[in-house]
Amino acid sequence: MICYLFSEPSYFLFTSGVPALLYYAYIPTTLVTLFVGFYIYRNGMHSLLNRIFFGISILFSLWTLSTLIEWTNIHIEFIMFVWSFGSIILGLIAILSIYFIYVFLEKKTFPLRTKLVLISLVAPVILLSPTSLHLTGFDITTCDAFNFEWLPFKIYYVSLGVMAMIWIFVLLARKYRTATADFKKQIILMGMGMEFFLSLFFLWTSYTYYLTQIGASSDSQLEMYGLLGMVIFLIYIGILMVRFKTFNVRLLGAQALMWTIGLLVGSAFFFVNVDVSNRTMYILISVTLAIVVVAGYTLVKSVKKLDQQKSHIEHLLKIKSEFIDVVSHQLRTPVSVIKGMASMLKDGDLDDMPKDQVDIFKAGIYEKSVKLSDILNDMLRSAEVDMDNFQFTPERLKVLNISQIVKNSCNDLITLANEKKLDFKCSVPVDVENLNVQTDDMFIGQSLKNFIDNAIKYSNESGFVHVELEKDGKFVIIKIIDNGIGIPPEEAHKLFEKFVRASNAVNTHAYGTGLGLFFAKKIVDAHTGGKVWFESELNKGTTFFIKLPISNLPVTTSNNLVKSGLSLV
Amino acid sequence: MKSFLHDHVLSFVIIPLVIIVCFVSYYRFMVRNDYVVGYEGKCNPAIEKCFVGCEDDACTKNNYYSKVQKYAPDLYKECGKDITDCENASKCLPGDRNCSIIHCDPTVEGDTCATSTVNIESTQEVEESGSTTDKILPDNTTDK
Repeated sequence: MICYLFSEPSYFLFTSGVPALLYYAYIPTTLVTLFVGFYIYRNGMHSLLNRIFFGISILFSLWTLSTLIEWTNIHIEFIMFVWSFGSIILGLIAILSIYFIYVFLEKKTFPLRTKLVLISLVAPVILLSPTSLHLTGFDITTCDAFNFEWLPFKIYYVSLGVMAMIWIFVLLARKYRTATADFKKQIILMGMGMEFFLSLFFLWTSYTYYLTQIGASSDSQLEMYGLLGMVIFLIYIGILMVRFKTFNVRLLGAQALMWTIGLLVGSAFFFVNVDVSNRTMYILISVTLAIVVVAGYTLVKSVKKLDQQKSHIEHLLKIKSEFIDVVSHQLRTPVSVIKGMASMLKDGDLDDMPKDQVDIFKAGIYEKSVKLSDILNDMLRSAEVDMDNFQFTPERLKVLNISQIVKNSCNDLITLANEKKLDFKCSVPVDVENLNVQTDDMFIGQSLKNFIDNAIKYSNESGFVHVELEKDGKFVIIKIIDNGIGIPPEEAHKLFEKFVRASNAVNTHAYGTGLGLFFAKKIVDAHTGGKVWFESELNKGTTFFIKLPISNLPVTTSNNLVKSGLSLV
Repeated sequence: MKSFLHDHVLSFVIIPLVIIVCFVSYYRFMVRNDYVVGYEGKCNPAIEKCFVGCEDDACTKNNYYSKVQKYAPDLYKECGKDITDCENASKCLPGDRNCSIIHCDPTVEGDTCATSTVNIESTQEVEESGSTTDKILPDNTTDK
């Protein structure tokens, strides 16, 4: 059965009987929401916050689509079918909005109990929506089912929106009190955007009804402005992305501005009469849109270039300040000690001291100069490999027995491990004893030592450090396992950056330049298929995995070096 | 596994529920047509209290109607999918479920009813004599 208010729509939605404002208010808003939702999701699909926002944008789009169908379709069975989902979408938007704000504020998921509360709140809406407790009939005269919705049910699902607004306000207010100044600004922006959206989305119909009742407005199209709430929310989201990199999205102000202008011009397509007879208008809008797109693309490209240069300079300045930090902390101490001791030697202060005490002084000078030498070597080695695609020079490539390299690295560090009374083991199973790797012997040895040295340095006394080897297809995997301080998860992503040390490593006061792992990773990455990764639990320990490709060539000796045209450095 | 379930409990509960509801809703509305249809039924102002509306935007001619609600499967059985010229659509027949016909009640605020059968009869005579003037005046001229 059909209702006779409008004619059969073309393309499912378009009919000439409805106000042009309907399409202008619904279609651009839906497209923009979907676009922003997908953009945010694509830039961080593993982030819960991004996924929830994408969920809200899809639900909102489904709601606008269903409303458009209700407005323009004439087949009443289909309108009823679509109508029954409106309440479900509203209920889900309400609970997802609360969840979204919680994740935004706390950076973690809801506790299970709260999730169950949310489910129990929305479940009645979902379960009752297809029943006669929700919808009983359809009015052909007005072409809607508005008067056939059971009032208590309607009040319940609208109340979910009101409850969401209150819950969100409480969450925001509680967090605001303890937030940093920067985060306070983000809370205000996000809070205002979300409250605007929910308030207009859930209550606009009631506002317009009230305005009509008191005679303040008789505009029947006033209801369509309710979707502006989402537009306002998206504007706040845009500001958050540009200013605070919320959602981990790097969006330039110029990009956001150009997208907005383009969308505004494009939206005009939906405001002109749906009838295509107005060709001049369509041509003018198309030309304006084309000009905006070209100009915008040029502008964004140049701004992006400037931004990249700015980021590069910022990166260099950061490295410089970290370098100064390392120099001031790590170099100053040994230099001061050596200087003080040399001064005592020069002034003859040690002449009257007992021999064993003089020996301690001499050992101190030696130890500090070794440390200085290590730091300088670290820096020089890092400078040598510090390029985007570092590769071994062919002259230095050799085929070496990997188990021998591991054993040598372990032997070099066994004293250090014994000093800390660690359970230090290097195990090489029989099946990997004869495996070879084509590599640079100096670099790979130092790289392995850096990993093992790190494990020893950050293990607690009487802990353990185990080095293991295993074959994995065409690769050999070296595992360095310790039960030390672990790596804070939030710092894991920058562990292999230059001059970076985990905050808990700095707190141990152990010597370190922040170059060891940077260098070690560069060396492993220089092997074809070489890879480094780690698993870590704070205060429980870390396991580093080093994956190197196995070579089937024979181990390089002085003789076959000459034969192959390679020379030892 | 437990943590995975805890993390995704919202999706694991809500998505299956919505899918089930989708099928139930499709069956109810699209297959069974399990709903009531409300429309303007034919009304003879000479013998019934009818609501009055306009037949066109310029309101050159009045439309007399009663408010009818009928269970969709019964309506389809009696009239098919097009009820415009179906006499039975304006009646409640024996065996009809959830059928009701509401006539105009001048005492109800907002109802616009035809004034009297006398006026109506005289109007019909005028119309038959070729006049275009409709003299039936509603009780209440409030715009609905």
